[in-house]
Amino acid sequence: MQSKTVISLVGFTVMLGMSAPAYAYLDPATGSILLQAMIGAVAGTTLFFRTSLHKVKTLFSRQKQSERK
Amino acid sequence: MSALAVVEPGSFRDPGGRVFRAGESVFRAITEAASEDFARVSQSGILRKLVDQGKLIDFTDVTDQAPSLGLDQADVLLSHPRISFISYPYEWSFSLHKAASLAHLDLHLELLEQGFTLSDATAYNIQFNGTRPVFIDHLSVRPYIEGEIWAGHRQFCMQFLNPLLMWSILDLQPNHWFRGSLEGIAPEDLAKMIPLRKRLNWTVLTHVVAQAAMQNKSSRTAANSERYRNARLPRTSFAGMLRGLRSAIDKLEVPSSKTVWRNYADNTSYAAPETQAKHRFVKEMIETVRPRLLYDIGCNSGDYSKSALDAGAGKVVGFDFDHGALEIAYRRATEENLDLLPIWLDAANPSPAQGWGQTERMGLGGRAKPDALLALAFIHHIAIGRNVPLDMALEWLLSLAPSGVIEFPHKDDPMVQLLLAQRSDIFPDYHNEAFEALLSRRARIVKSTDVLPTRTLYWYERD
Repeated sequence: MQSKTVISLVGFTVMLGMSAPAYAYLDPATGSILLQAMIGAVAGTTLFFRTSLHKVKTLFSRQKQSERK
Repeated sequence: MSALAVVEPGSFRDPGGRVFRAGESVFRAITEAASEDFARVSQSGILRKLVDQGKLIDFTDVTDQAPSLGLDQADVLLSHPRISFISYPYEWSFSLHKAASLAHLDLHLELLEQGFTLSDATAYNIQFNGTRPVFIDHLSVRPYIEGEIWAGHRQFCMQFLNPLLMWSILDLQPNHWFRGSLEGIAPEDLAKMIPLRKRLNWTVLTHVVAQAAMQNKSSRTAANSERYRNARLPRTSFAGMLRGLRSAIDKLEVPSSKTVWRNYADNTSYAAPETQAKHRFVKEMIETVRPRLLYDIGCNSGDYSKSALDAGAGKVVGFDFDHGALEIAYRRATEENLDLLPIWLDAANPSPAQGWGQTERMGLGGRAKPDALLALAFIHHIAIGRNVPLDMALEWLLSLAPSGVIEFPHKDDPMVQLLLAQRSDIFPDYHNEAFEALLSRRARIVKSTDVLPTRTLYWYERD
């Protein structure tokens, strides 16, 4: 039990000794970052087109509806 | 005064907090480094909402108890319900892994919508309630900063996506590899194995092949490039990436699973008269012992796990070597909403204690305290199939739980004869009388019955 207590205290002290911002503890790796820079652009563009397409579609369906009226 | 809290050896990576155990209670200490972020997350009410939806493990603020636990330097102290069995991604079946991946992505998408994100993407942060994934790390949730990149992307690929792709594209079980490489399967390694025609898939091409190429290149040159330093991921792209992965993973299946299902349908021998007797015997033990946690070693499709749950077992962890059987058990547990977690086990080589200090990930022995076990149609696979002497095989089973039911298939049982078909019988000590003598030396035989002329069930109880 005593040794466990020591582990616990050591663990905690070491933990408190770190002042790095908590959110930065994971190294995202360079390959992933470069890929994200690319995917981000592609995914964003796709999304932009999808949204635009949707807007155009709604525009037409609205027109159709108003035509019916 | 409460017992002093002991640090959980698997929780050291995030300097923002640590998990401690004191007796049966689990605590999370949050330090100054993370307490401000945590307060913002907590005050938004998102954590409570996720708990209510069953997606996040429950928490209570018990900061006032910190001094009595010897954790008085914690800014915030949370208490959590104890998870009776911790499983690791290298023990999951394909379906468990897929469910965990989808749960992770859904959680991240929901958080992002509310202005939060996850600081990592480790599969070890997912545990199972029955077969339902539950997220266990409250400190991974933090405020989203506009335009930031997805820090956990590579980790997500290594621990969620790549094992699933390996399974689905190559029809290879990733469990052995993942167990040896606790951070998961690197894109650089997986990329080398994927045949050319399978690369023409958006997910494979980007997250595996392209990432691997850039990782290999980046370690030499790109790290200093402008593009690397200024990489930003707009929120819509971030969500688009998560959604893209979600829809790709949702479509993944294991090629061999179709055969498994056909074989299963062809082999439904459940009408056999001895199975009725086995179910009755199991139920009688369960009704007497009333185990809160039961291990079903060699659970197969989970027939007896289900009987045990019906008879009053609280929770069952089923173990099997055969991934086909695990898939069937998973489907049953999910469809019938059973508190059954079917995971992969090679009983001759169970998960070891490993990771940092060889304590980060627990071995199977001593990981949980099952009150009882079932080992039906199991021991001959070890004693004859894997040459483990009968007394050692029995000793191992008895070490797992204080009571249970063990089935002993006799030497002349057709299944035992099948194992001996192409080899000489080097097992003179493998017979029913010897087994009974070994068992009665180590435990009390509460009851035994012959369910077939060549099969005996033993209900044992030790100390």
